[in-house]
Amino acid sequence: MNFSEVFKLSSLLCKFSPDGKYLASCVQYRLVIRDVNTLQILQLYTCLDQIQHIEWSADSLFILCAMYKRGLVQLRITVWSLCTKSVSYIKYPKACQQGIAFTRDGRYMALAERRDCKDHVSVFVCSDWQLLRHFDTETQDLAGIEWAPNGCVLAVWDTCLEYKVLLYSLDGRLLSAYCAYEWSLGVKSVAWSPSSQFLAVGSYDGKVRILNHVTWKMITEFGHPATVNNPKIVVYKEAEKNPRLALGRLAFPPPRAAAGPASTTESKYEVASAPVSLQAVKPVADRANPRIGVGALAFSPDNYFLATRSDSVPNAVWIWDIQKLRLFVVLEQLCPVRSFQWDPQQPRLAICTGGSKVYLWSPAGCVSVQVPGEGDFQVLSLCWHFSGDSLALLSKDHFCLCFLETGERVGTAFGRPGDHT
Amino acid sequence: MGEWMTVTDPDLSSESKNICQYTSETKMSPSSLYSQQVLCSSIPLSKNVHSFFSAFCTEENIEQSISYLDQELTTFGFPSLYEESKGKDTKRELNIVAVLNCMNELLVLQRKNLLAQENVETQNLKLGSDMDHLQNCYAKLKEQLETSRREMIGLQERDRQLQCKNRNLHQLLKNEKDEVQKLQNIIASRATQYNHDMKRKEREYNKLKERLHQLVMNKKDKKIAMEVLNYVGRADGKRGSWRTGKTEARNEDEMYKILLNDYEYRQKQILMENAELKKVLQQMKKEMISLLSPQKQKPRERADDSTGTVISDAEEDAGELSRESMWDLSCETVREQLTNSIRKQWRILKSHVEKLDNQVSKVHLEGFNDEDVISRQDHEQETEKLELEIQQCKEMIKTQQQLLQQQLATACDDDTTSLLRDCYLLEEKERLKEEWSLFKEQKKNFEKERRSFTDAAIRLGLERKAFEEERASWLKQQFLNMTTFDHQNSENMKLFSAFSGSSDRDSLTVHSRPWQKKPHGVSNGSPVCTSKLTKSLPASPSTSDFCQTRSCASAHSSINVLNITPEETKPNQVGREGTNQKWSMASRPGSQEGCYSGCSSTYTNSHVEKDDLP
Repeated sequence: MNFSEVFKLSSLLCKFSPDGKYLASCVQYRLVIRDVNTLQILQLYTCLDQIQHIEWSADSLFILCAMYKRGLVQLRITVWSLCTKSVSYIKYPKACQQGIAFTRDGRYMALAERRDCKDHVSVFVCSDWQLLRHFDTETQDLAGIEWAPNGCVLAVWDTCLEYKVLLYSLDGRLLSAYCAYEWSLGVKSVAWSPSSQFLAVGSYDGKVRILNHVTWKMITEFGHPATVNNPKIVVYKEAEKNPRLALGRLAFPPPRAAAGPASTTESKYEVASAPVSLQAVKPVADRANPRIGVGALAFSPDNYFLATRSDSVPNAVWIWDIQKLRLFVVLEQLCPVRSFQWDPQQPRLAICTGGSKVYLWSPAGCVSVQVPGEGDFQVLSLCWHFSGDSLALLSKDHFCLCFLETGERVGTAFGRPGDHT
Repeated sequence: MGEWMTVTDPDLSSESKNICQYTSETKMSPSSLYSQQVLCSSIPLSKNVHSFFSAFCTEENIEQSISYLDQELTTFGFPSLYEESKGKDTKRELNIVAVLNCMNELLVLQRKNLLAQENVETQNLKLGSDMDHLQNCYAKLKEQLETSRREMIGLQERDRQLQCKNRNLHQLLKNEKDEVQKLQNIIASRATQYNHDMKRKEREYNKLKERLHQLVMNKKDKKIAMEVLNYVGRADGKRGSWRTGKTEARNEDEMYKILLNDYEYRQKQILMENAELKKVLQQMKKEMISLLSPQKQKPRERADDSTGTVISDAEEDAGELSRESMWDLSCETVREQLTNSIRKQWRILKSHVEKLDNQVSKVHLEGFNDEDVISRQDHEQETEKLELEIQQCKEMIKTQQQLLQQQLATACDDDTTSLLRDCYLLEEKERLKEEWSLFKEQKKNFEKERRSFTDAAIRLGLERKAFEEERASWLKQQFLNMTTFDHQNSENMKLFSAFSGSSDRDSLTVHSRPWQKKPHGVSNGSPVCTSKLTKSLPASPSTSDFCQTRSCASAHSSINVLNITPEETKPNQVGREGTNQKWSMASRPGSQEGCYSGCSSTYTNSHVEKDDLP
């Protein structure tokens, strides 16, 4: 595993182009385009103001930089054509968690709307922005919509005050409505499996429910208890290699300040024997957005695994075997998990916790890798190159690329649990 | 209760023994007791028995007392004490024989009475102890009853408490349920209120939005609006198409095409899955049929002709083929048939497998137990069988012997044949014969023993004579040779001491046993001792003085003993029987009976053993 040198970055704005050739990153008001392989700067654009958002075009020919400070109040969606002078307006968009969703092939766009205190969904054909379907949804306060990867089914879920998942066909028919329970906080996260076969719904009761695509009923539910009793489940626990610092580091929550000097210490994974109790936080009940429930869900690209994070057990990542519909592995980190992302090509999960390490898991085992370089490099976010060969690690002010060996070298790198390279 | 009785039986018997002992002890002075009882019954007023006894007959009133006694006795039905008078004037003489007879009869009566009394006493004691036991039992049962009653009350109390608790819990549950219901209602009302509020707020918000929109739109400031500066030309140079009805229709078509494709894809997948499952089912069915058929079809095949089986097979094949072709149609009836048949087969298979499992588990269980167990059981069965066989064989032999003897008897005299035909008589005779033969054998044995005894006595006499002679010669030599006296004398002394020691031991054992076992034996004296000696004599034909002095008596008394118990073969039993005879003389009925039964039982046992030997 090799690391590139560290480059400057701001606002965590760093993106691979869809074709995988370029890497765009922003430093204040400058936009830097690099070659992915050589990392040489290909283009340098200077904007008038600090860049707040960037977006590649699907063909990797264009890039969009957003400077919200220079924006103006818009109460509608405006679609500008880049080739013709045509401009389309879409009224009544709903400002919510995930109010707009494109199908994977880019052919259709679903938009959540709010008119007359009722939720609606409009499906547009993206080629000419024609409204294909418009229907109202039986939701109190729609929170998000998401297309199935095959683009034929739209999942709609209600606000967190009510557990409700609705499934609509592309032609606007209601396929199914699912409600696991009432009178309690509901859906927190939703994810489709890449094969469109399963819809995983994470909720505030700390469970993930898997719906199937034939009957749209629940197949199974995965709980996230703080103790793992089944001895068949492998629990990887991240442990400090330096025993002198172990005591101080075990305090929870781990002090951010302590992460600085401790970042140089190496860590490794140890296989804990069952029963294992995971560190859990007691949620504050009288505040908004309590830290409970399943906050993050991600299917592996081959549909075999589902990675989840329960916000009440923030240090752990659960990995479920979808073929056998049971828990497979639990990783417990020393710090709360910031984000995780699957390798687009194989079942390999990259995890970051805001420390100076990046963690990789595959069915063969897992490793903790120290990001080299002088000073502190706190990995706050990460994104995979679509080939799965490299990984961009983003900190507050810098970013670097991590190159992963492919093929046979992967096997050796992930040889044993607790292995450290 | 039955158990109780059996448990306490030994105690009772021991008690009765004690009582026997006690009574026998009291009988140590028979004369006093006799007089006491007799006088008590006759003259209950007298307080001082001895003084009265002494005062009853004196030198002066012999005649009166005799006449009084005569009167008394005659009234009791005894013959007169006086000789029958030949003449009226002559003074009647006291008939000593009659007196003695009377005395004897009185003594016998007394003994009988004593026996009866003892019996009654033991009975009384037995009954008393039974009573005690029953009272104890009663008390215990009463206690038990009391405790169980208390327990019952306690349990009832507990039950009541639990019921109370249960009721309370029910109440609590109900309360909780009510609370839950109330809270749910509150939540629902809050939710509706919240929604209502939200709608109101949203309306306000929408109004504000409208106003803002108007304000923004009213400005019409082109500078603020976003504009595309440089348009990008399309790669193919085409211009964007106009939005028309045609495009709309085309979009619809496309959408449906996509949906259709998706459904077709899914249907294909489902069909594939179905086909796979059907294949699996078919295979399963075939395998099941092949698995289950051999057991059922074998008998049928045997019964049928070969042609018949061929035909049936062909029919079945045809059925299979048609079914397979029908499967592709996948109509509901076929599906039902398939599932039903599979279910049937499965049920059969399941029951079969369960049976097998049971068998396997049984085998396992037996396997877990050692093989020894099986063999032991088999052994037991075998031994039982063999024993039965032996019994049968024995019976056979017996009957055969009987028949043989019968034949012999018939050959001997013709008169008895008619009698022998009677089975009872036959059996009786058989038994008598057996006993007779046994008796004869024993007699022979005894004769032999007797001979050996006399031989031993003779030998002893001879030996003694020799000894005496030796002694005399020794004494002579002593006198003759004074110098060697000391040495030889010491030797002689040694010999003597060794002798005396052994004889002492013998005599001790002889003495101690009767002493320990029965204190009466001492008073009765020699017969018991001698009977014991007869036992010890052949074992140790010693030349001690003690033995010699007794040997004559033993030779005489042993005959008596042997005459009394001629059946016994073992010396031990002889001794026991002999003592028993003595015991009966000493009038101890309880112990005697017990001993007798014990003896007889050992006797029969020995008999059985003898029977078993061949």
